[in-house]
Amino acid sequence: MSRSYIYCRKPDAVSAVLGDELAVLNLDSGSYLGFNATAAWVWRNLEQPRSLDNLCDGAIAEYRVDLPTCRASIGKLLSQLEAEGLISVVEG
Amino acid sequence: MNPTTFRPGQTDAIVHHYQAFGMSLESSLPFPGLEGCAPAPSSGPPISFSFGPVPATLEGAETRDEVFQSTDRQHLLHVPGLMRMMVSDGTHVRADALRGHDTVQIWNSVLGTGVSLAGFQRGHIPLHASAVLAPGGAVAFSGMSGKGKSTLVAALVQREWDLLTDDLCLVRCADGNHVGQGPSELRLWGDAVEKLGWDENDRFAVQRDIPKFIFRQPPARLREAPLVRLYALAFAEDGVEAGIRRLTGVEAVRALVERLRLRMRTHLLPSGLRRDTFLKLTALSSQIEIFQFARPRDHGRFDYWLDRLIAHIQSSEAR
Repeated sequence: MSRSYIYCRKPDAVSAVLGDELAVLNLDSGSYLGFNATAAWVWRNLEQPRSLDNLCDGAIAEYRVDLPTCRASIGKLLSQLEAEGLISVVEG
Repeated sequence: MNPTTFRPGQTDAIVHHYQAFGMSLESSLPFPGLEGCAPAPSSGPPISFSFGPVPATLEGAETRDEVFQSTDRQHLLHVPGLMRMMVSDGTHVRADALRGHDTVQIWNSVLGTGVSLAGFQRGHIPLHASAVLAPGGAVAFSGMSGKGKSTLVAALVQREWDLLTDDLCLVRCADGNHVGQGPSELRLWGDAVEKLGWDENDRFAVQRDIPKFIFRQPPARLREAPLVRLYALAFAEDGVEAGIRRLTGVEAVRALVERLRLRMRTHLLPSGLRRDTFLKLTALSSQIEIFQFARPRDHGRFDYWLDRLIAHIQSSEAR
């Protein structure tokens, strides 16, 4: 994904912490998703709008992951969250 | 004697009072199988049941499927060939039953469905579950029809456990997750009656359409108890490994969502109720212990698995 995109949570997403996991409800559609620890980390870090690069910088500092793997997995997650209507994407 | 109120000059001159599921009920017709009692102010405003025409559509319905139409304040339920019901503001249930159908099934639907919806409108969580009293509180067994809730609870009753409620656990989250006593009866399939060694002739009634036998039970020693544990029932033949496994996190939430009565799924809830219901379910999933209990469908090993379940309930894991 291009570095020029900024990702942020939509206001109609409600989350509930469940230990290391998270459940997130899309208020608009009524569907909900379960997040594992990694996805929960990304969600928490989207409390403020961030770019993919910014998210990867944080993930590499916290986890033992190389940049290409990080960009691929977080990029895929962000696409899923966008498809589920939980985040919005704007050009930075 | 059934406590009633006489209100001369009103359309429903006789009003019958009951306590069930931790709620006060009043009805223009007597509920078979419920013992009347004086109104209890601490239960909050009563749910009033009336009977007569119900509209086919709910004006302004926000969500709908083949059975439900709903707004934030009202639910319209249509069970084809059986009944139509409108539940409003957590206080009014109006039912229109089709003639010529099994009255036992109709009454069961009116009470269970009416209280489920009215309770939900009041902010309670209606689980498709049966429950017994354990030393620490209520232990519930949940699952859709056919997963053996009532059979399991009947077997526990045979072993001197107290029946708290069958088929509906109405959880009052704002009240320490308390579950109130339901009608003191168990509804069992014929093969379950045979497995348990009960006599069909001891039945109180028969629900013909399904068919199920209804057996009266002594009332529980407590009218309500805090829900402390829930066992989500499954059969090993459905691809699940037999045994008892703790559910936590998202798995625990999913177990609760999938066991809401009346097929309420979050996407079928009116938008105004989604956030509140979701947060209550996620909180409840952390406040009680939730386990999956999977066993073979075959009644041949029923007693073995019942013994394992009882040992688990009584083990150090129980609160």
